[in-house]
Amino acid sequence: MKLKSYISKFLALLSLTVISLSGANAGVTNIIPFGPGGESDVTARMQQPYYKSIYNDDIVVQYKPGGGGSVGWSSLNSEKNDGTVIMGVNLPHIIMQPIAKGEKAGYKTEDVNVFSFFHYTPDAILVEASSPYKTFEELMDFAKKNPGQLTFSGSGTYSANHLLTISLNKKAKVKTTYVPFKGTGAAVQALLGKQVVAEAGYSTVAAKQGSKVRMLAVASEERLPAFPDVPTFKELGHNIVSGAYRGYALPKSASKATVKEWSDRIMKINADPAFIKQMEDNAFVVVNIGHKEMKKFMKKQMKANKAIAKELGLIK
Amino acid sequence: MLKLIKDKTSFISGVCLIVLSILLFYEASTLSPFGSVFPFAITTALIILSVILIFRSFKLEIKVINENVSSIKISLLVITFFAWIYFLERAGFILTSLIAFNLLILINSGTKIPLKKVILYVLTGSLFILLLYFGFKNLLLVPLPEGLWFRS
Amino acid sequence: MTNIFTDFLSSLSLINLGLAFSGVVAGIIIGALPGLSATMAVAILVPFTFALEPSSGLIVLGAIYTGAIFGGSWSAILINTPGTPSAVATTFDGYPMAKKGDGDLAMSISCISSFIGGIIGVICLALFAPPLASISLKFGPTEYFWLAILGLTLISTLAEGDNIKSLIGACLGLLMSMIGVAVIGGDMRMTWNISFLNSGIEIVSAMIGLFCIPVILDLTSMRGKHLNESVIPKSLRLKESFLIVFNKKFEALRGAFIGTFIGILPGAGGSIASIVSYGEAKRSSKNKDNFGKGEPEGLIASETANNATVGGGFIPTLCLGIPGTPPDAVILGALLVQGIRTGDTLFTQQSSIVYTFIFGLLLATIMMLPLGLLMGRYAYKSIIKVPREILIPIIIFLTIIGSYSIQNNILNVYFMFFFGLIGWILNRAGFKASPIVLGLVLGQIAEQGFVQAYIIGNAQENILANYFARPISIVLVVLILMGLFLPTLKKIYNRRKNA
Repeated sequence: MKLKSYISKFLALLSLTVISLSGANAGVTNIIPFGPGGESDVTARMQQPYYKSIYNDDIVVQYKPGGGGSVGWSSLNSEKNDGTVIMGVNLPHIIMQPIAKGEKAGYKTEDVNVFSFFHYTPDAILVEASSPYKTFEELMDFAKKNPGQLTFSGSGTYSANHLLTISLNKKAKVKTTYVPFKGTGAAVQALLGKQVVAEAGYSTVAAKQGSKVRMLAVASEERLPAFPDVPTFKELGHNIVSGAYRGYALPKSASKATVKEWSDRIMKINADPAFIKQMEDNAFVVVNIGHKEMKKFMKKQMKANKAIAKELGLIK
Repeated sequence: MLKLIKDKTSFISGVCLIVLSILLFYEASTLSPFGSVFPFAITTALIILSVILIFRSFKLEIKVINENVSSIKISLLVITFFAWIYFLERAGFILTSLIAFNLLILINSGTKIPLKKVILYVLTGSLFILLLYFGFKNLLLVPLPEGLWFRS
Repeated sequence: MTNIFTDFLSSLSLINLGLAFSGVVAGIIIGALPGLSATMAVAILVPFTFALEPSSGLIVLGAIYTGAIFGGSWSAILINTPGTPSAVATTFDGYPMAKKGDGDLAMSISCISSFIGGIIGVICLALFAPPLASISLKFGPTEYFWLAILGLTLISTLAEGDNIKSLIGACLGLLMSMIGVAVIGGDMRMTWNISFLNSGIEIVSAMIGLFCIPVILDLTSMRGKHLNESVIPKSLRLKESFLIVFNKKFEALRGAFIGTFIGILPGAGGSIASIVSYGEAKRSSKNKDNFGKGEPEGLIASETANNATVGGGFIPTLCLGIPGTPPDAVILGALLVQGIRTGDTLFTQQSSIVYTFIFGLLLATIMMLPLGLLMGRYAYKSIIKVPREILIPIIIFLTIIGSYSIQNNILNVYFMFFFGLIGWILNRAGFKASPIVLGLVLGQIAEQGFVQAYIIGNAQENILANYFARPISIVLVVLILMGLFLPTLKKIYNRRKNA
């Protein structure tokens, strides 16, 4: 009996030493303010192998979901500022949330020290493969003749998906009905199950679902390389260029040198042709907005989003 | 009046619930049409059920069988538990846990347990804490709090 | 056909076998620790799988997933705390069994049941994935709403004597599920300026608090042991547990099929599966009154269902690219990064990956039986010996470290603590935890389904038809009515007969 307890205590001590010595690797932490499986997560994981091969270091992805990202962003500035921690950021979220929720958002847009946006997913309108509407015009035709009956599924209320339908209503002069779902998965499920007529989603849905859906229009500047047959809204006569930008930020107190260093790192991965191809195959549009271009870019985005917010009545 | 109430617990619960439901009902009225459907429905149901509960508390009592609790031990436990959490981020995980853990052992042992055993518990317990700390930190990559007081 | 055979062989490769083995072991341990969920376990492991072949990566993720769902029952049985949310219904009868001294029996029954559930789930995945996927697509908002209502009618079966308090508990749970940003309407509800509540009540810390804190508080004042020594201390009780499950084979299979079916519905998941299976088992059992006091049937119902959601959940994940359960969302992300397209092409062009994975998952589930029984035996024997004085601090320590790791946020720990205190007070006032948890888990599904169905029905200018004139909805409504009125009708019929 005594021997057994000595053995077990010895084993415990042994495993303790082993475990305490095993970890403690360097690596940098990438905090994603959403749950796993989403676009922010997927693109972060796509970057992991490239980062490892260029800088011989690991990016450890952690999740801090909540409030559509606001839980993460409100805690950004209390993280370590020595460059070992970065956090994923999304547009229009970091602009719209403080506008729509005011103090309740927990942070201000100016307090988020963004240093790079490396891709965006343009908004898109999709229908299910067996849908009778083969082109965007046909869909709009239906909407004009049957006001209110064109149902769009999408993720959340006042989200990018929702705003897309509002823009569409205004620009195409139609009346459609938006049905909010919890997350892109549920919205896609409703589309595939033909519970709704169409989906207001992102281009990545088309990439994921392949032949099960038909993307009728995409809100990018130019046609996507992975989908050369899908017209842009611009081509169709509606000036809608929108989508979600994703990038990273550092705590506000990080030094200018750290900011520049990280911006360069992300941009370097962005320049890798294999990485670009991987992103484009999945309908992500690679953009290169580093710390130099950031101020101007954010100013433009603030202006555009504030205008939308005014239209929606979120600010007076 | 109080003598008329056969089931005091149910009565008090019922009253608290009615107050809560009315508050929430009021909040529901400030919401958008779609966002308020369920809140209205459930708070209304809750008000009705609480009223039934209050009326029932006058007529009969459904006994709730509870374990007997020693208030001193429980209060000490709750306070230590809370303190453990409170100091977690301030004094750091290891320090706080070691102190609080062993404190709890003492609280629970009272005076009945011989000193030798208590020391044994303290040692094994601390080993356990360290094992899990490193396991979580290095294997599961959970960044346990380092302790704000000790950050330079 | 030769393709399938080579896939089977490759799943038997040394690497894959080793991965399945270590995956199951790691999964069981992680699942047993409250606060560490299957989702988290899978998320941590994903980067390591990039160095592996896609099918091998899938195998280790699947093994961890299924091990974790089983492991969740350990803490459910031993300390009344679901190690993973999917084990919530296991606490209803597993813990009472442990208190009576049947803890080892409960652990073994749980292992055998998890095995059965897991196997059925994987078999359905292997043989019926595409047709089951198209059935899941037929479930729209209306169907989800009625399914949630069906689940909520289980309150009447979960009620232990005090119906009013159970209904109140369910209403409280439903209200709690509305905290946060509403999916429809975008309102911030019941957050009272606490930004932590913006995304609603975090279910894992809520469960830890609600189930574990009362146990800790009650333990403190108790004298004597936490769990009674086993009735027959030295024997293995394996034969007994196998016999029990064999006698209830119909119930076990029923639970497995309920779990598989709920698994194919995205957004449902293990917790709902275990609750629905438990409620259904109680409703149709001859030992109704023993449920909640340590009835093996309840344990079997819960554990078969939740492990069946592993295989079931992969069906929409692999066929439709829509995650069936939260861990599936992580796995889906990993697949995307590896360049694997889900959907029909997965089963045709890349079928070797899928079938190697399915066989690997099958092997992992088979391995789970002996591993789970062995590890469970060892774990049970050690826990039983731990004296109360050190057990309580250990449990408290686990709740703190567990709830912290959910989101690396100390607020979850505070929340777990206060939610637990409230739960303890409610418990002493006669409001049991199970109806509250039921409301909390089902609330969002019920509300979203209802409002979405309304919006769609309104757009189609036929609201009522959208709620009732749909084939699956009709079946669900009939089931609901049967569940509500059949017992009373039976009573009236019996009274008439005896008169």
